[in-house]
Amino acid sequence: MNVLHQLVMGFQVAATPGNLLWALIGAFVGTIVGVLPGIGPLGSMAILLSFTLRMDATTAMIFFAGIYYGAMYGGSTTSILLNIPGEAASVVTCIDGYKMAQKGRGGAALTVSAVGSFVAGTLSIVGLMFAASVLADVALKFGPPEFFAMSAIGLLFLVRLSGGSSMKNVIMLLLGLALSTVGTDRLHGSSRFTFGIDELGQGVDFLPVAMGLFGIGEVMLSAVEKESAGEMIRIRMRDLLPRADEWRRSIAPIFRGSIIGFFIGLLPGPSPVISTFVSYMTEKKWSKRPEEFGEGAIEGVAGPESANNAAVGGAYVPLLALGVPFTPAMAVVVGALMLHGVTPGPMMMTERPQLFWGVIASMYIGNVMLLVLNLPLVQAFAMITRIPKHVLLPVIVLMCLVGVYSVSSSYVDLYVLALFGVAGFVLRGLGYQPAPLVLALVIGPMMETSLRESLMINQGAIAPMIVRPIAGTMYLAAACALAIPLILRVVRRGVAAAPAT
Amino acid sequence: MKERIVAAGILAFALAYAAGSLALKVGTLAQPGAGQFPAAIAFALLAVSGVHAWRTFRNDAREEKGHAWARLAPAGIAATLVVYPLLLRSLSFLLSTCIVLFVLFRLLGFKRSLTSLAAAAVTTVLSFVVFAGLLGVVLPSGAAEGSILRLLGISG
Repeated sequence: MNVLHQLVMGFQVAATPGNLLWALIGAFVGTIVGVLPGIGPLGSMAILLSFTLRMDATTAMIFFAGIYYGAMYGGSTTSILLNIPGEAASVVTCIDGYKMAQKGRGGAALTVSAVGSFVAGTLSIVGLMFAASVLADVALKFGPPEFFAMSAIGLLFLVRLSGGSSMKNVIMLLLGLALSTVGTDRLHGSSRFTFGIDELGQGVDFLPVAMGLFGIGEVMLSAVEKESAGEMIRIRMRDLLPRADEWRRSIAPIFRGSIIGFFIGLLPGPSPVISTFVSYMTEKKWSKRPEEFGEGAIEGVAGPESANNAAVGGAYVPLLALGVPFTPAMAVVVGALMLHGVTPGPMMMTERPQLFWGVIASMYIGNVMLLVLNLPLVQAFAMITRIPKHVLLPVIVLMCLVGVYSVSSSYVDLYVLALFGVAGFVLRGLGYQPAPLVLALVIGPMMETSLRESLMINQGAIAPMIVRPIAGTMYLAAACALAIPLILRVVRRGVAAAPAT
Repeated sequence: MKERIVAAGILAFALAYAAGSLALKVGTLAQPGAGQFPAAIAFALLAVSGVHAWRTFRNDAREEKGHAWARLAPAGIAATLVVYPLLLRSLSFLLSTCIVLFVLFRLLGFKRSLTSLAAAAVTTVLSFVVFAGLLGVVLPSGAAEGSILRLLGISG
């Protein structure tokens, strides 16, 4: 009852004309971002951070939630109509979505994708509401050892789940942690690695690093790639209605995708992307017609598109309940909250209930807006991909430059942007993932402080940090989660090798 | 070759970072100093980047993938990013942004010089109106910027 009461209060906050307008603008901008290959929700949120300077914290969060959800919606449009994923979480949708469009069922794929996204988004918000409440209550019992355990385990999972080479991911993670040590030491007040530059005293700001690695790095990579001009399949309004059998085949994948997406969203790393792959494999395994996958199976669109939207709700749980961002996009959200003087964490629910519940309520509203916005305007959104690269890329660079400068009017930040832009181009081209570096940079200070405080409390003894009930359970659960797949792999290999010997 | 250069660069960074962290006060486990966490990170980074460099140098360099670094467009973008803060400091927002945008438009294949210049000028003014006029961002301003702000009814 208390949750419902709080939610009603949240709707009162979110339903003010100003907040509704920003939710709509966020959803619209997010859809465009999702449609355009390259920028992604993280880059756009980082670029638009300066837009939120004049807003209050609640409005800024509502705006960002709209962008994040909108990007997930928009990504499917180009995947289905052009076979070009607008962002990484829509890659899987290309497989069956574009095939459906080639067979004249593109409208049905778009509608199922939009409805699936809406259902999943709504279900994940319900999950977020309850999970965040419970987790925030637990988090109030956290001491430094628990915060250290959570951040260390989170980063460990990030390395495993970020894809690509694990060694390169570890290197990026350690580079991020190294960067997080630049600036004034929080406990002793001494300067570290500042080289006499006053502006580095406050540390390396994550925003120019993230915008450099993701935004400028992407621009430079796009500049050397050939422009893709896929054939766009046109959709008429009457084609948007799926047939009865298509609806029937989509219902279970939408619900399964919602559950998979929400739980994967709780994990560190690019959860919306991972959730789509897991959902696709699950649907293929459960399907009575697995041979249709890859040839235009509607389940291959309904499941993954639901999963990536549900993952967004899941990703908000650790941020709102614990104050820890587990995805790079959530790190930008933390940055926005900090700019407005709000520290995310377990106390946010009690200290800033209007912000917490206002954002949750705005997500419901945003999902309805996206459903209404996306289907009638689908062709218009798809046309945006026709903007040539030589027009789009300079504008993105300009937005990055002004966006970074506007936050703290720092020339040093502009050099950091340039440095990490080049690093992003070089490293991403060689398969180094930027997400572990960015998240380690954000989580690093909390990890260091909690480790040093834990050691001081326990007079240098490490065992008492591990055997505490909550921290111990976390380490045990993490060890099981990491060890079980390895054990299963060894067992399977043993079984496979047995008949041969 | 690119993999080797990057692996060597990361190893060099790890060495320099380790040296820097040891110059800080490391302290004891019971009383950790400012350098303890950096030292732990540095040694982990040294170990991992050392193994990575060894593996990379052992592999055949001809099997490498990835983009060519010495291409005009990315090199030009990098150069404009480095030059922009210098221009911004001395020329104010409109002129420095217009120059950088013009170079970027030309680098990325935007039609003729005159069209690129016009596009750069229009984009610059629009961005100034949005950021400085509507969002209230304080950008380095001179006489031209002041005139635009006065036209918008905002005191510069």
